[in-house]
Amino acid sequence: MHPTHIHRRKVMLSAGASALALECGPVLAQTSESVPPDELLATTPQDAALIVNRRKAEQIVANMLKGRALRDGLIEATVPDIAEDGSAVPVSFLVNCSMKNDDYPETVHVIGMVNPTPEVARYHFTPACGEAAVVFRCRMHASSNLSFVANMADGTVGMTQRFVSVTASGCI
Amino acid sequence: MAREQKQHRRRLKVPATAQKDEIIVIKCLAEHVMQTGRRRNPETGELIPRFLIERLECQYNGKVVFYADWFNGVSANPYLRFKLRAVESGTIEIIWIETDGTRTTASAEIEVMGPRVN
Repeated sequence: MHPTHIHRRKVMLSAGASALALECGPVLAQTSESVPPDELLATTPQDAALIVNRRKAEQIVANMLKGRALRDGLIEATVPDIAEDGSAVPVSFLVNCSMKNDDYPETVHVIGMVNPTPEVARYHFTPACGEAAVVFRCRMHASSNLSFVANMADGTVGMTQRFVSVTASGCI
Repeated sequence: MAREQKQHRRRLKVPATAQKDEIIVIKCLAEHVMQTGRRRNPETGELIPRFLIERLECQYNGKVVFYADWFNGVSANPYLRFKLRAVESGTIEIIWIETDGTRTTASAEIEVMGPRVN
C-alpha cells in the first residue's frame, strides 16, 4: 500500500534514528513510547505536515469505502510516473462497466493522498454518458499516491491507487 | 479590460456529426486562475482569497448528463475530456460555475444520423 520510496526513506531515517539512539540512548527511548512512529521519523515540519495530510486523506478514503469489499479491476487509471510540474499533472481514468441499468458509477472521487485538501475532484456520471472515462489535470503537493474511488449505483465500490513522483510541488 | 475578458474565455469541442449510439468525446477548456486560497500576495503577504470553478455541468438538450465538482486540487486553466452517447441531434452545453456563483457557458450543436442503411 505504501509507496516504495517512503519505505526507503523510513529505513534510512530509522537507521539515522537508531544511530542517534546509540548516542543519547535513554532520551529517545522515552519519547518513542509516547510518540507514534511516523511523527518520530519526521525530521522537518514539512515532513510532519505531509504525515498529517496523509492521515486525513486515509480517513477520507475510509469514510468513502465504508468497509465494503473492493471490486477487482473496476477502475483503470493512467498517471505519469514522474510529474515535473506538480501544478498540472495529467490524469485519466476509466471505469470498466456496461453503463446500463445499475451498472454505472454514480460518483468517482479523485484523492491526492498528501494534498492539503485531499479531495481533488468528484465526477458524477449517468447512463447517458455511454462510458465513464475522464481526462483532466490536477495539482499535487508532493510525491504520493493518487486514489480513485468509484461508487457504483448498485452500491458496490472499486478503488485504484497509483503513485506519482512529483519533482516540483503544485504549491496548493 | 482585455485581460478580464481573456480570463473568461471558454472553449468547447464537440464533433459536428455522429452516428446514433456512437460514443463521442467532449473536450472543454476554461481559462481560469483557480485560486486555491493558500497562495499569498508576494508583496503584502496576505492570503489571496479562494476563487475556483467549483462545478462544471454538461447538459444535452437541456438535461444534465454529467457534472463535476472541483476542489483546490484541480490545475489552473482546467481542461476536461469526457464521453457521451449520441442519441439525438441537438445542443450540448457546458456550464462553469465559479465560487461567487458566476455562470459561464459554451454550447455546440451536434447532428446525429440514424443507423446507416445498406
